[in-house]
Amino acid sequence: MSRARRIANIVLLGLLLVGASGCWDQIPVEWRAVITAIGVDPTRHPGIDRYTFVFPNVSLTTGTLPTTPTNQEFYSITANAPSLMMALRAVQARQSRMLYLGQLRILALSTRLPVSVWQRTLNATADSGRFVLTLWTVATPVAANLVRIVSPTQMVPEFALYRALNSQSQPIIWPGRAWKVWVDTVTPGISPSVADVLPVGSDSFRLGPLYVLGAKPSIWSPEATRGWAYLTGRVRREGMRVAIPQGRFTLSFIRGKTSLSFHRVGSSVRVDSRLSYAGVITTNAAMAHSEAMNDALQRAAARKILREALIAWRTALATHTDPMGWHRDLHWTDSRIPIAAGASLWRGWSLTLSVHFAVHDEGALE
Amino acid sequence: MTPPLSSHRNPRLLLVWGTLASVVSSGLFVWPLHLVQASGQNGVLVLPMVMGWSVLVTLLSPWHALGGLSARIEGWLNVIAGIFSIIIDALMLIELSSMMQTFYYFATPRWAFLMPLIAIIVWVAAVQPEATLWRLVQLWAPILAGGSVLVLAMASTNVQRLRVLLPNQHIVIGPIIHGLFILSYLELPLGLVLRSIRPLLAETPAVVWRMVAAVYPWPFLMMFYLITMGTLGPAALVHVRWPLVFTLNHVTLDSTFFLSRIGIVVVFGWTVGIALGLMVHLRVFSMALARWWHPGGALLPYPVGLLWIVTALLIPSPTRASMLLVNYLDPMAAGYLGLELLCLVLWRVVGAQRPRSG
Repeated sequence: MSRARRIANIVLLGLLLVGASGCWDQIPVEWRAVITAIGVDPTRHPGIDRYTFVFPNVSLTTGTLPTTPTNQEFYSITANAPSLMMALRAVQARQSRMLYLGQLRILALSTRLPVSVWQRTLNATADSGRFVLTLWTVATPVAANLVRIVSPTQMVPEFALYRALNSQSQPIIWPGRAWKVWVDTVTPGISPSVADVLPVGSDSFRLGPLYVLGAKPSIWSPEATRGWAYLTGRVRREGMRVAIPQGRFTLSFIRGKTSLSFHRVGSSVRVDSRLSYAGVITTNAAMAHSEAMNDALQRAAARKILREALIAWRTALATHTDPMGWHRDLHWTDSRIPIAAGASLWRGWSLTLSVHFAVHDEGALE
Repeated sequence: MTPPLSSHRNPRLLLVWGTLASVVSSGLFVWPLHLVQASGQNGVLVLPMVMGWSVLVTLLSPWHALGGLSARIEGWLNVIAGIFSIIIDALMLIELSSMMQTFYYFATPRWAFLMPLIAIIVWVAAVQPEATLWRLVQLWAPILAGGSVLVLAMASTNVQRLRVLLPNQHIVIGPIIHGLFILSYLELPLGLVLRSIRPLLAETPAVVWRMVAAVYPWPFLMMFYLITMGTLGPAALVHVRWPLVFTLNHVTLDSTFFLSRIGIVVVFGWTVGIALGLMVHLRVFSMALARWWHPGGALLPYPVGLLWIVTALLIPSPTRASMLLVNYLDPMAAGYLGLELLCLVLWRVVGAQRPRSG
């Protein structure tokens, strides 16, 4: 290689190193203000909402973490603004660091907010490109209170509510991943739904029941929520107490599958739903049990699931919402079927349910 | 121009990876937006039709050197296809750079990441010996193919309902034909690449392998389609500009400790994928031009590289790039594909009447 060519190559490589690596306009992590959670509440002024932004306290180091009180691990800034983007701008003006949205975990919206604010906020997060929509959207009475909860076991930058929603130990697979809620808001035939999270004491919270964003938002009862989970196949580790003549039993690790088919005759639609679930007895493994007792347990559990599924169905009828997405599924089967809205949503629909429950084993105790 | 090729080059695999790199690169992240806009849920029916077309083109393509007028017509077809694919690549670079800017490099000016990318593409396509490019294709195309299968397997957990992956019971022919036309921009380089790789091969690959090469890119595009459609559904899919980016952006691996997001793998993958596709397009175009204009063919990559940078800076809007692609490039590409098919049929008819001259 000639000398001139070697020099040209070195210069080119140098330019590439500087140009392609992006180190000329980097923003190190200590210059960034990472937003972990956002809470949105209504104010007394219509059109203006109160946005609470929660940040992990980056002045903490690994060494100081064990000695820092939990209430100092996070701090929050609030702003009243007409939209999420305006609130972000207002908060940026009061932050010495660059706001960073890539680690946002929780977007909590108050149940007192109208659906339009939910839609606007979700659209803003989807449109901007700066939000990573793997965050969870939840409903709660007062969002500012929920996002400021720091559970005793929580360590910066983890967020307990995010972990809880992601956790495999939840009885049902909760709805509310932001990208999915956004997809549901723009898809006709499904009412988007999220978990309604209630604070418990000052440092804990309880997940559920279901909050459904219909034309008018509705909070479903815990039974209806479980029934909805059975109808949509979202049951992962449910548990239930059943009473039979031989005594009261707890069934745990309930899981299974739901299959669905639609039958149309004229303008009426019959939904055939077959729920096939199984669980284990975890009450008293030492107790001698018979076939008859197993049968009784299976029947009682199936009855309970049937009852909850019917409560969910009646709630859907009463609230004119479809968080199961059956109208959407039917539309995907045949797009000529119009999707009704409001009071006529379920006109002509009927549901046929068959539930099968199997008791798998005597229990986990050896 | 073309250096003699060593006989150890595997003719079957070069053909397969060559077509994969040149077709899939144009369908990486914008795909399948335009198809779903045109055909909705029934877009899934369009892909088997395109596969059939690919098989037809391969079966009709002559696999011996043409002479006389046929050779001249083939040369012109290659030049036209080359020009179209260069323009389509320019639009894809606009999409790539605006996608990168939206999601990853908010503050970095567009030229800063386009210049190194285009410089590398031009360097491999023009400065390096021919064998370098085909070796790169044979190295990276399988890696990217394997990587995308892995990434798509992870993304498949976000598929919500399988029903949406099947065609709708309400089938209307018009939108499906429209979808078929929309795919012209992806089909365009196929014939060009097959014809350009043909003289490079030490031996003629069997018909089966030629068909494998022609069909191979479509299952990949089908996988991308199924994952994005299953995740988003036909209604939400047309709301997002880059459906595959949306889909892969929301793959969570929360249960793993070391790897929580796959973004960096994906960005790396499709930058390499696009670069590879562009290199192949640039090389086959300069080969086609070199047949007519000797020094021009060798120098062609430099002005094309410049053109790519200038268009990416002049047309900053991805929506405009999409509009140009669907409204102008696609009809022209469809016209070209019709012409190509006509020529292939004519050669077949003429070839059947006359003994082959070799």
